[in-house]
Amino acid sequence: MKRLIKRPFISVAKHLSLWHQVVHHRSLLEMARQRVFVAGSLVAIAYLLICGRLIDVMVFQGPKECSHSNSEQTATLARADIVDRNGEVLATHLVTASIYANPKVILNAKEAAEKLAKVLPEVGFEVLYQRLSSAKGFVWLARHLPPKLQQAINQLGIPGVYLQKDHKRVYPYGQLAAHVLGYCGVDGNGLAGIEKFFDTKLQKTDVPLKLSLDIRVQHVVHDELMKAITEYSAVGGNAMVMDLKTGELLAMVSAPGFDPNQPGQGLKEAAFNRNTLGTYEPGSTFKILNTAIALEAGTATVNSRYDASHPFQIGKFLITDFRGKNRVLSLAEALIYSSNIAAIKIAQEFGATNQKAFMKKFGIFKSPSLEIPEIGQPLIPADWKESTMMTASYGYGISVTPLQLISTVGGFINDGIVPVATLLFKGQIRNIDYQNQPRIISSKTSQILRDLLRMVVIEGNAKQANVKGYRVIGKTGTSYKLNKNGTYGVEGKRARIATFVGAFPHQDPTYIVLITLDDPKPTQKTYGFATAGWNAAPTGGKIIERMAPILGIHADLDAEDPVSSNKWLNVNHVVSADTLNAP
Amino acid sequence: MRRSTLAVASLSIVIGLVLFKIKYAVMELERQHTQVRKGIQDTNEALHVLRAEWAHLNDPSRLQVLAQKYLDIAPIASAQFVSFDDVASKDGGYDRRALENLVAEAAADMPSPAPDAD
Repeated sequence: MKRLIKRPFISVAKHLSLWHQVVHHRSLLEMARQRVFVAGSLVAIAYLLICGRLIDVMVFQGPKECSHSNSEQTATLARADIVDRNGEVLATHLVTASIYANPKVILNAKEAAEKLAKVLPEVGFEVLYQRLSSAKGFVWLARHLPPKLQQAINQLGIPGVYLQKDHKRVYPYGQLAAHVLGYCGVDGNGLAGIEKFFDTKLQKTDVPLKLSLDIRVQHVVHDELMKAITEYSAVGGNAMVMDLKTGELLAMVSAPGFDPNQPGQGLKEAAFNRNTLGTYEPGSTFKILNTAIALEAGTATVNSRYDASHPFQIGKFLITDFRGKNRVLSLAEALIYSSNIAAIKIAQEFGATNQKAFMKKFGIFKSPSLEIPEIGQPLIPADWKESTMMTASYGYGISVTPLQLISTVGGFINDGIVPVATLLFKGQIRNIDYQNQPRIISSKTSQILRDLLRMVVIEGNAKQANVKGYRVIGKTGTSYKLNKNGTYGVEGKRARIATFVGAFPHQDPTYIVLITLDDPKPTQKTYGFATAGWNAAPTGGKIIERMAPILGIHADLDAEDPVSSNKWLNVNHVVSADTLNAP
Repeated sequence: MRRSTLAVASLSIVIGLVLFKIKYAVMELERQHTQVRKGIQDTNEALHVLRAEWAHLNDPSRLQVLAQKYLDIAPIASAQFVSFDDVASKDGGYDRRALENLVAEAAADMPSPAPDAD
C-alpha cells in the first residue's frame, strides 16, 4: 500500500528533477522559446487572414445584395415588353398559372383525369388520362389558366397535380402590328418577327424594347389598306411608311393578318410578311430606276426624245403602252406617262452592262437587312441578256421585295442617299450624318427625279394620290401576277399586282409610303380599271392625308407649286415621229 | 494582468449581446425586405395587367368606332395647321384678329364629322 502511494511521488519527483535540468539548460530553453514563437505567429497570421477576409466581405463587398434575393429575382424575370416610339405597349406579359403533374405520384390516373376533365373541358378526358398515366416524372396538363380555373383546380386537391406560376405573352393591339412583332411559343420563346430576332435580348433584360413604329400611323395604314382590300376585292396587300431622314419604319402592315395572341391557327399563310418576304415584279415603278440610269450614265437628258407611237416587239411579245400617248415622248414624259415602249428605247441607249451595274449599285440584287428574320431575296435572272434588259426597263423579269423598292426609291428622292431601313427607335435626332453613307445617284439627278415624280402626280397616273397642301410625289406600277407555273395566265383573266410608292412634301421629302394590292378587281367607281392609278394611288393618298396631321406636318395650302408643267411637258410637239425615225 | 482579463471578458459579453441584438434586427429587416419585395412584385404584375388593358382599350380601331359613334368631332385636317408667321403681329406678340379670322376660316373649311356608322 505504501509503495502504491509512494510511486506517483517518485515519478513526479523524477520528472521535476528532469524539468529542473531542462529549465536550467540554456539551449533547450532557447529551442522551446523559438517553437512557442513560431506556433504563436502561425496562429496570429491565421487570425489576421480571417480578419482581412471579414473586412473584405463586410466593407468592400458589403453593398451587394445577398445571394438568395438574386436568385429570387431571376426566377421572376419575364420577357421584356415591346413598345412603340411613343411608349405604347405593343407586347407585354401577364402572370398566369400552368398546371403540371407527376404521374409517378398520381394514385388513380383515371379518377384524377375524370375530375380534371370537368374543370378543363377544352383539354378533354382522353388527353388528360393519357398524360397522367404516362411513365414520365413530369407532364404539362394545361398552360396559362385564368385565376378562376386555378382556384377550381386547387380545390380538387389531387395529389401529384401542381400549379406553377407562368408568363403568357400578350399583344394588346392584336392583329395591328402582328407581322412586325411576330409571336411567341407557349414557353415564351420568340418564333417570328421582332420576338425571334431579339429573342435572347428580350429574355435577358426587362428594359422595354422601343420600336420605330408609331401605332397611330400603323392604324391609319392598316385601316386604309383593309378598306382598299375590301373595296377592290383584293386577295391581300401590304403597306409601309418610312421616315426618309432616319430610315425608321413608322408602319408596316401585311394582309391577310393574324392574331399573335392565338398563334397556330392557319398561321403559315397569314404570318407571311409581304413587305419583306414577298417578291413581286415591280412593274412601272421600275421606270424611276430606268430614268435614273439614263441620267446618271449620261446617255440621255430630260429632253431626249423617244418614239412611242408604235408597239415594240420582243420575241413573240408585243409591248404596248397602257392608255399611251402614241407619239414622240421626252425622257421626262416617258416617266410621267409611264411609257413601256419609251422605257425600252431608253434602256437600249445605255445597254445591258450599264443597267446591270447600276441596278446592283441601287441595291436591287440584295435585300437590305432589317431587324426581323423574315427577309426575302430578290429573284434576279442569272443571265443578263438583251431581252432581260428590255423587260427590266419597265419592271418585268426581276422580282424584288417591297422593302427593297421603298429603300431604293427612298434613296433616289432623298438626295441620292439610301435610308437604312430599321424597325428600332433611333432617338430624337432628326438629321443623321449622311457624310459616310454611300450615294447611289447625284444630288442633281435626285432633284430632277423629285420634280418628275411630282409631275406624275399632277399629270400622270398617280393623280388620285395627290393631297391638297402636301405636294405628294410618287409613281404607280401595275404588273401581271406570276402564276405558280411561271406564266401570267390567260389574257383578260390575269391577276395584277398594283403598287404605289409616294413621298411628301415634294422639295424635301420626309415620309415615303408604299402600298401594294394583290389582285385588285375593277369596280364601278374605277370605271372598270384595275391598275394601280385607280386603287393603290388613291389609297396612298388617303394614308398621307390622314397620317400627315397626326405627325404634325404643316400643310402648305396657298403657296404655288414650284414645278411648272411647261418645263417638263410637250417640249417636243414640234418633232413628229417621222423626223425622229428618219435616218 | 487581472484587470485586462476582466476587461476582455466584459468586452466579449458586451459584444455578444450586441451581436445577438443585431442578429434579431437583421432577421426582422430581412422579413420586411421579403415582404416589400413581394409587394413590389405584386404591384408590378398588377401594373402589367393594367398597362395591357389600357393598351387594349386604346386600340385605335376601337377608338375610331367609338369616336364616330359618340363624338361630334373629326380627325385633325391639314386646314387646321397654320404657321406662326400668319398670326404674328409687329410688336412680337400675336395678332388676335388674324388668329380669330384664321380660326373662322378653318372652321368653314373643315370637313364635317363622319356620319354615324349605323
